[in-house]
Amino acid sequence: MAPFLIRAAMSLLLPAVTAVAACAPDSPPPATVQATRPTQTDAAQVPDPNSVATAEASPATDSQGYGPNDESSEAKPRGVLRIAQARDPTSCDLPMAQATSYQSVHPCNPMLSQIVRISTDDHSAVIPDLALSWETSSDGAEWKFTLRPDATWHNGRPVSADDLKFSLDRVITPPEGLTIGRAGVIARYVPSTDMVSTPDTATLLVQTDFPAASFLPNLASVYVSIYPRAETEELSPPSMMQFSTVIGSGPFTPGPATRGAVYSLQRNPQYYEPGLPMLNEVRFLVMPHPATRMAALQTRVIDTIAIVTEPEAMVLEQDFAGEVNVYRSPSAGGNTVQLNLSRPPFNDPIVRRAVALAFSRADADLALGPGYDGAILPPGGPWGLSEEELLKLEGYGDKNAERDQARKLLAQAGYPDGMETSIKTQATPFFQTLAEFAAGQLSTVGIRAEVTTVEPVEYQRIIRSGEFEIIAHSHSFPLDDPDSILIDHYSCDGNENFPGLCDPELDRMINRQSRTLDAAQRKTILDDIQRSIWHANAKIWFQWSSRRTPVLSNVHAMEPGGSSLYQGRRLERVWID
Amino acid sequence: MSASAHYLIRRAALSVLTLWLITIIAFALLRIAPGDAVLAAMARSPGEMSLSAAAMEERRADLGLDRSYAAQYLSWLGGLLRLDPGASIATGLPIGPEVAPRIAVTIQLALLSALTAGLAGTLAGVAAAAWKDGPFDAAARTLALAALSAPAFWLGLILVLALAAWANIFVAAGYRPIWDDPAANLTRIMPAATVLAARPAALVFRIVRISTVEILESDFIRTARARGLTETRILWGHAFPAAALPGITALGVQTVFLLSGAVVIEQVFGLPGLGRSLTEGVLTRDYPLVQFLVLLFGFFALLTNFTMDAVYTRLDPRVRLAA
Repeated sequence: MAPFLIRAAMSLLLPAVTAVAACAPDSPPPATVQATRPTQTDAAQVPDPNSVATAEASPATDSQGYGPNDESSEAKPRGVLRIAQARDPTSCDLPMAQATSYQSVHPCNPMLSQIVRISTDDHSAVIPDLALSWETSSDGAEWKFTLRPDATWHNGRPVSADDLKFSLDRVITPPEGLTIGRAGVIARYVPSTDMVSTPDTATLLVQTDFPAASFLPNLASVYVSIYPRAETEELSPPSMMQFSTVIGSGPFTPGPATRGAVYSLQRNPQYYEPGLPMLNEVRFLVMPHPATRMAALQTRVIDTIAIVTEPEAMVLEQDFAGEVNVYRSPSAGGNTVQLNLSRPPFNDPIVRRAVALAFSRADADLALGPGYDGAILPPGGPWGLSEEELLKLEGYGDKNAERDQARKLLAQAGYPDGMETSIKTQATPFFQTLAEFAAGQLSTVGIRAEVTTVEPVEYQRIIRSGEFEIIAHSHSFPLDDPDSILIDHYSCDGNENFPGLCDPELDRMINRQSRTLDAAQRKTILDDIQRSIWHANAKIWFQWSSRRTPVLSNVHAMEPGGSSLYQGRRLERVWID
Repeated sequence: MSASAHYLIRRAALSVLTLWLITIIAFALLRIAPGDAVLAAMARSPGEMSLSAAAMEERRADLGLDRSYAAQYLSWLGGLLRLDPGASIATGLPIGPEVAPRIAVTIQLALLSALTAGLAGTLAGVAAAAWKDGPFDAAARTLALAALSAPAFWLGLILVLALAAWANIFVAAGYRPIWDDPAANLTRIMPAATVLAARPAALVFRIVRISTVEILESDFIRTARARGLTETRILWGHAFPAAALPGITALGVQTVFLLSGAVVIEQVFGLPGLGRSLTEGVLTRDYPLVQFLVLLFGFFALLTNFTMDAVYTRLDPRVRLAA
C-alpha cells in the first residue's frame, strides 16, 4: 500500500495545495504519462469504450436491458450502490439551467423518465421510455407518441399525456423565475406550446416547425425529463425542484438526504420495466476533495466515481488491479484554444492557420493523458469525421513539416521573428495546465504566449466580452448530436461561440443539416461543415478527451455506453454480486 | 449600576455597531469581487453550461441584481431586521433552514477541537515542563513545531490517505447528525476535530510549558518542596492550576480561529458545515448566503470576545478599574 500513498500524495496533493483547488470545479487535472495515441472510427483501432483495465470482465446485459445474461450470476434486486461526487445536486429540474451540471443530473436522473430516451448501451440510439412507440408524418414534421399504459408516478398516480405536454410546455416557455438550460434546443423545433397536444390520455402529438433531424435525439436527452403537472405546479418556491421533492416515474424514489453529505435513492417497486431496478438503494455521497474520493474507493466505502483523472486512474490500475475496473471511453468533449477573431493578430486567417499547425495531438496525449483524434463533432460517434477524412485535415500531417509551414505563414503575415500574445484561462489546475501546454506548443513555431490565469467568475465575463487574444478552454457536450453542438458553438449568435466566428454560409449549412432527414445526406453536409469550421481555425480542438470511470469489480453494468457524461445514467440495470 | 455593568453594556452596544459594519463590509466585498451570481453559475460548471446574453440579463432581473447596490443592501438589511435573511441564489431555499443544520456541525467541530486542543496542549505542556530537556520534552516540542508549520488541510489529507493506505480505514465517510446516531457522529467528526486541534494544541502546549517551567522555579514551589510534598503533587496540585490559566486564555482566542479553520477542514473531511457552505457560496456568488454567513461568523467572534470580556471583569480587577 505504500506505493499507493506515495503516488497518491504526488498526484493528488500537489494540485490541491491551496484550499481554492479543493473547491474548484471538478475538472480533471493533467497527467504526464507515456501513452499510445488511440485513433478513431476504425473499429480495430478505436479503444473499446467498454474495455476494462483488468482481465475480469463484467457479464454482458441483454439488449432489452433486463439484467445480466450471465446465467451463473445471481442477479436479483439487492444491494446498495455508493457513488461519490464533489458537490450537492443544485436542482432536479433538469431542463433548467441550474441543473445542467452532471453533479445534478447523476443523482436526479434515476428518479425520472423521459418520453423517449438515449440508450444506456449506445448513446447514439433512441429507445422507448414513457412512450412505447412513435411515428412521424411523411414530411417528418408531425410526431405521434403512444404512451405505455403501466407507467405511474412515485405517488401511484398514472402518468398521462397531459403530464408530458406540461413538461414540454415548461421547456418551450419556462415558468417565471426559471432559465432554460440545455433543453432549450427543443424550442427551436417546437417554438409554441400550441404545437403540443393530447387527443387522449395515452397520446401525445407534437408538431415541429420544420422537419427536424435532431428533434428525436434531443427529445430523448435527459434534459427533457418529465414531471407530473399537478405536483410540480404546487411546488413552492416554484423556481427550484429539490432532490427530496422530486416526484418522478423513474426506477428510484427519493430517500433520506442530508445536504452536503448524502443523497439516497430507494428502489421504486412500481417501476414500469419488469424486474428493474436491480439495486435496492443508491447513495450519492458528497465528497468535495478528490483525494478523499480516491481514499474512499480504495477502502471500498464507495463503489464508483463518475470521473477520475489520468493519474488517479493509473494509481487504481496499478495498485488495485482486480479490485477496481477503470472504464475508459471517449468523451463528448475536449480541449481547445480559442482565438479572438475580432482583434489583431487573430483576425488574420494566416496567423490563425499558423497557430493551428503548431499543435501536436501526440504531445497533447503525453501532457494531458491519452485522448482521441477528432475534428468538430465527437469522434467515434455517428457524425465525427472518419479517420481517412481526419488525415486529410491540416494539423494531422507530419508535425515537423507543419511547424515549418507555420513559421513561414507567420513570416508571410508580417511576423518573421515570431510574435507575442497572451493566453487567458481560469485559475483552476486543469485549465491552467491546458494553457501552459498551449503556450509550449505555440513556442515551437515562434509564438511567445504569456499565460494569465483569471478567477473563474471573472474568466466567464472575459470570454463573453471578448477581452482576450487566446483562451484555453475545455468543453463537455450534452449529447453527440450536431444541433446541440453546432448551433451553440459555431453559429453567429451561438452562446459558446467565444471566438466570434460568424460565417453566414456556415449558418446556412448548419440550418440545412438540421432539416435533412436522410442520415447519409446529413452526414455529407456535416462533413463539409466540419471541414469548414476546422479551416476557420477559430476554436482549435487539439484533443478530444477520454473519460475514466473507476468501478469496484463486484459492480456490474456500469460500463459507459457512449461518449456523453450525462445520458444513460438511470442505473436501473446496475447490479452488485 | 456598577462599573462592570456599564462596561458590559457599552461593549454590547459596540458589538451591535460592529455587526452593522460587518453587514456593510460583507455586502461591499462581494460586490467588489468580479462577476456575479449568473456568471458564477457558469463558472461552477465550465464547459457545461452557457446562457445567452439575453438569458443572463433575464436571470439577473429575476434575482434582483439589476437594482442599485443601495436598494439591494437596504432590501437585505430590512430582511435581516425582520429575521428573514432571504433565499439562497444557488438552491432557491430559505437561508434559515439551509444554514441551521450546518451551524450544529461547525459548532460541534469547533468545540471538540477546542476541547482536544485544551486537553492535549495543557497536559503535554505540563508533562514537558516536568521532564524539561528530556526525550519527551524534545519530542513534544518537535511535534508542536510541526503542527504549527503544517497547514491543517495538508494534515487532513495526509491523515485520510495514510489511514486508507496503511490501515484500510476511511476517516472522511460523511456525516451523521449527533441526534441520529451519537456514536457514528463522533466517529466521523473526531478525525476532523483532531486535525483542526493540532495548531491550537501546539500553541497551548508552548504557553503552558513555558508557564509551568517558570512556576516550577518560583518561590512557592520551592516552599512546597521544602515542606516535603511529592513531585507529582507539586506538579499537578500546585503548578498545573497556575500554569493552565494562560493556556486557557490562549485557547479562548483560538476558538475564533477554529471556526474559520473549519472552512478548509470541512472540505477535506466532507463535513456539511458552515465553512463548506461559505466556500461554495463564495464560488457561486450566492450573495444572500455569504452575507448571512459572514455576519454569523462575526456574531460568533463577537460573542466569544464579549464572553471573555465578561469573564475577565469578574476575574481581573484591573479590567474593572479600566472600565
